[in-house]
Amino acid sequence: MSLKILIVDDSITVRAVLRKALSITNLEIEEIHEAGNGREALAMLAEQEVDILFTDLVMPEMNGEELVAQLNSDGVTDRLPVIVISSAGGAPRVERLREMGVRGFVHKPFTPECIEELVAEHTGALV
Amino acid sequence: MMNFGQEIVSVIFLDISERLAFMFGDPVAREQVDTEEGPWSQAGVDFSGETCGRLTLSAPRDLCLEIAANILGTDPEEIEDGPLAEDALRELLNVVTGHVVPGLQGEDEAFELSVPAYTELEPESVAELMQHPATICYELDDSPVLLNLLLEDDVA
Repeated sequence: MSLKILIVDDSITVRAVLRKALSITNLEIEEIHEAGNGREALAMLAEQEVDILFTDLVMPEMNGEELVAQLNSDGVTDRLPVIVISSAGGAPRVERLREMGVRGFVHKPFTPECIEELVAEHTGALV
Repeated sequence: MMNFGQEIVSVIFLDISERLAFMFGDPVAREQVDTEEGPWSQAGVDFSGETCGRLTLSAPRDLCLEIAANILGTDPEEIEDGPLAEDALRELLNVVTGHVVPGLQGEDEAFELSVPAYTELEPESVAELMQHPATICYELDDSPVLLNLLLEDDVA
């Protein structure tokens, strides 16, 4: 299975690190798309199908929680695995995000192994 | 002597610097810090929840380049002095703050973080920060770093 992945984070550093982490896993990756906030991500998803989406929470313009809420109300989270990678959180927020369809939550900093496991688990990709 | 909040910041900052940027450091006395190593940059994050306040991370610009290079796994010479260095400082602080706040208020409490802000520091601002009672001084890979934790209770 060749994967299309969308990374949503306002930090160019995090996007670059996540891209690099994905590249050194055993996952077969077709394309990695990037968005700097929730609004850009929604625009991208309207044009492009992806197999899994990673999103930060704290972002300008449209934050990660607003993005997840929109994807949930559009029914997208039923078919698209959404993984939150963030520094912000707290147990109540993680629970709220899970109720909105988020499949996984990663507290920064992350490791390539953890990312690989999550992608494999939620897309069925073989590693 | 550090207070409770400063001790939490200290432990977490050193741990995250090691895990995220592969950099090692130690707290140092104010008198040992060389603030002449300029220009300086500062990242700041506001947090709110059971505990509210602001954490800032200040460092010489050259160290920001090193932080960016280490996070990205490349040489500092390959990092252009620009948005990437600023973003790396902001991201290091963002991750540190995301661990500090649960340490201050408990793991089960919700909290919000602001989008990290970035600013250049004038030499007089660095000197002022150095003398501030809420500032903790470090050496990270032989470069000075200043962390300042201001809690809302301290301001009131």
